[in-house]
Amino acid sequence: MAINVIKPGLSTTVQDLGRPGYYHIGIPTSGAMDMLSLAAANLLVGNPAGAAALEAVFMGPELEFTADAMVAVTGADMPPKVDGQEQAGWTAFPVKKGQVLSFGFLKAGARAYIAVSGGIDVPVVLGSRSTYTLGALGGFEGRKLQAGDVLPMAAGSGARSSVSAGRSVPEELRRRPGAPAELRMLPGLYWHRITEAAGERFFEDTWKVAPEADRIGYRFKAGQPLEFVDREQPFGAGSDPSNIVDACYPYGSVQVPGGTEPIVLHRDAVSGGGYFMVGTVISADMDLIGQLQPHTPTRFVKVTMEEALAARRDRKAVLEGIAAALA
Amino acid sequence: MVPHLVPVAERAVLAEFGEAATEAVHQAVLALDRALRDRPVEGQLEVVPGMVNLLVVFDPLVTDHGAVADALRARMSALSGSRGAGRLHEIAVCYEGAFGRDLQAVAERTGQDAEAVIAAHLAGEYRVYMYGFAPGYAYLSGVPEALHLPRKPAPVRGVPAGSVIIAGAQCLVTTLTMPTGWWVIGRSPDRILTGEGARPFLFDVDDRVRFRRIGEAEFRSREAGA
Repeated sequence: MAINVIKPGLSTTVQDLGRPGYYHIGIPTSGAMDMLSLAAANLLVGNPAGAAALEAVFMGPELEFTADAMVAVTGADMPPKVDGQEQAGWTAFPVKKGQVLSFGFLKAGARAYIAVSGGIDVPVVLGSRSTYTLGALGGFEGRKLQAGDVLPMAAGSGARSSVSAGRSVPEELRRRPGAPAELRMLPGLYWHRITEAAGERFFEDTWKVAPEADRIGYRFKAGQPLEFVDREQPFGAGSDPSNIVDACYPYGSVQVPGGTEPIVLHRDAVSGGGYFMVGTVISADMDLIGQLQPHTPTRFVKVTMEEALAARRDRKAVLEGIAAALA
Repeated sequence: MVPHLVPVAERAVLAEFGEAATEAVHQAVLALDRALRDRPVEGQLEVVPGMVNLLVVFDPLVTDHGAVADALRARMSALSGSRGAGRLHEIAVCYEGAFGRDLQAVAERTGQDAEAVIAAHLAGEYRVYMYGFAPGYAYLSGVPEALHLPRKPAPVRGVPAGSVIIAGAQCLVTTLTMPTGWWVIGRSPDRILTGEGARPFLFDVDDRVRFRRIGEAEFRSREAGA
């Protein structure tokens, strides 16, 4: 009851819905960057939405199954293959004992989610099976997969009779970033510290995802630097206007070191620090960030608290729609 | 002390007790932190104390900003007193060679020589203000004014675990190889992240810390023994 890792892919980790509740000691939530895709993959193979699955970045792994299983791949458009035969994405398909699951080249998106019926059976650490590689915590030995790893599949896995091959998530419920990608943002706590003109330009500019884009945060470049309002820095904040007295960062918060390149903190976020924040990307759009490739044109779209809450409810409705379609 | 409650995300509120990092402000932050850990508000997911503010992350589909704000105000009006002084820890630090890669830059920017920077750093009395940034990153207050510098304009990647770093009035001993925009003045062989189940970290918030200078030979032998 295991999966042999023949090739690991570029950066493949075990992820579930993460481990909230330890941020105050510096341990981030981790979990799937695109949680909606993770949930969809799990529901397709008959798992609970939050079961542990694999997150593969830019390049898929090559995996040999030692037992029958139902598999689904969602998120990035990276065609799955069983013994070389291409399978549809967002659709459940069987993999027999001895068969090899591999992937074609990435066509769109950034992260594919590979769910296996029963889930990946790594130990639960602080309430979650998610991998936090920087802290070497959770997942498979706290790290990304390597060739030769043997991933345990949960007992009772193997193709379930209740789940039939070929069922898929309806096209209209598959969420993807547009072109340019649009990230809705609530202007934040320190918004008053940049000039009005700089604030307008921030939302008018088309930014590009920088190469430094990972699970900790996504950096954006190519927009204009922020101009700061003249002010006296409070004690403890240092003299650079982009510095603040060290504060906690919520997930999704947009910090701008030096006022030049915004960084959106993601699932493996650092929990606090002293760089200025312009706002917070709404939780409904955090999934989309996980699907952005470097150089993707991106705009930040200003929203109100009411719009952010409505978006959160819409996202929940999409998830419920997927669950209902697969019930 | 009455905090200013700022909705910083549709899922989070920041309770701000002031702008300047003073002792009274920080004690108020810690008092509210204790109250919320003892008795969480409905829908509460994370509580993260900072220097001057406290972040409360909640599920907006279970509760809302208004209800969380009311609950925070109720907790504030029934706060307990201070916990009292923490324990004293002595941490070894080697300032030599590559361990103190920014020592010279700090000396130049603060108008003194490297020995004076080391002496000033050793003279500091430090307190654990908060955990943040990454596992085991204990923020220490109390860097002498002669060493106060802003952070670097952008973080530098790959700074090794154990680095002793400073920025403004703050000092920190890193526990992981991570990016930092702070100034690297030395390295400690002591492990802040102990990994022990019930007490994964060496320090508690409010504990006090003093630094003791060691040479490279002692660093190597302590590291081998750690």
